[in-house]
Amino acid sequence: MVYVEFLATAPWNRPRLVKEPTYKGAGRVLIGTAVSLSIEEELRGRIGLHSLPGAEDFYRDAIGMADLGVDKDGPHKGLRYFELSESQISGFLTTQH
Amino acid sequence: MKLHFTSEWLRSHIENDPDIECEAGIPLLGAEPLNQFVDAAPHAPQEDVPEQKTVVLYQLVRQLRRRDRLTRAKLAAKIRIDTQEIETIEAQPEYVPKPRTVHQLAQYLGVPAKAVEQLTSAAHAQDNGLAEAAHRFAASSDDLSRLTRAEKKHFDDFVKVLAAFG
Repeated sequence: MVYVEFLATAPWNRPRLVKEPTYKGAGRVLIGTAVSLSIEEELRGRIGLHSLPGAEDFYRDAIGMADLGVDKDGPHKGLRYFELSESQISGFLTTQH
Repeated sequence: MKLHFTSEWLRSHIENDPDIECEAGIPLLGAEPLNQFVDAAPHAPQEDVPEQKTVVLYQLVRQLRRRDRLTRAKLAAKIRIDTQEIETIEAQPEYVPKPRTVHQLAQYLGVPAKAVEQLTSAAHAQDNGLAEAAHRFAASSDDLSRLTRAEKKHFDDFVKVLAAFG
């Protein structure tokens, strides 16, 4: 699977920092790109990442990743690990109407 | 790389996505954590770095084909990339191949992708040992007949240097 080592929102896109963010959706584009890379590498679209606490709802609800719990040790101790499994890919890539 | 989503998909989701900063991996409180993703220090005076670039990827690919007796099409099929890209790498030394191509070539050679990346014109500064080995390798023969014993030794020595690149 493709592991997303690091993902951050640019300051000019953060609603907490600027009144009118330049772009919305850059994170979804990057996650979509990670999924595409996973598909192209014949990894069936599976990706994984450790979410920072403020972003957990995004990965769980908006992206639809499975919450596999908090790491008890290691470099990401205290962070929740999320995965987009093979069965969740089609739902992720479905256009909403 | 082909993207497996459309603008329509993005539009349909982004409108409904919550305003959440979607951070993952490490908290970004300053620019320091980004240093681990770049080779050089962010404020290093670039003018002090001597320009020592030897683009040898195209020669490596040609000799690899000679060593393994592969046509461009066969090598492309083996490492699952377009034949056109092999042709372009060999014909245009300044061409910077796609990251996936670098990865596939590195995997075939059994060396780190970063080492192969250093052989392209996109590499900013080369490790001294690798640069020296690249110069030696570049000086060797580049015709397309079967590798001589000496050429094979040059090739194998160079791949060993690449494999040790960390």
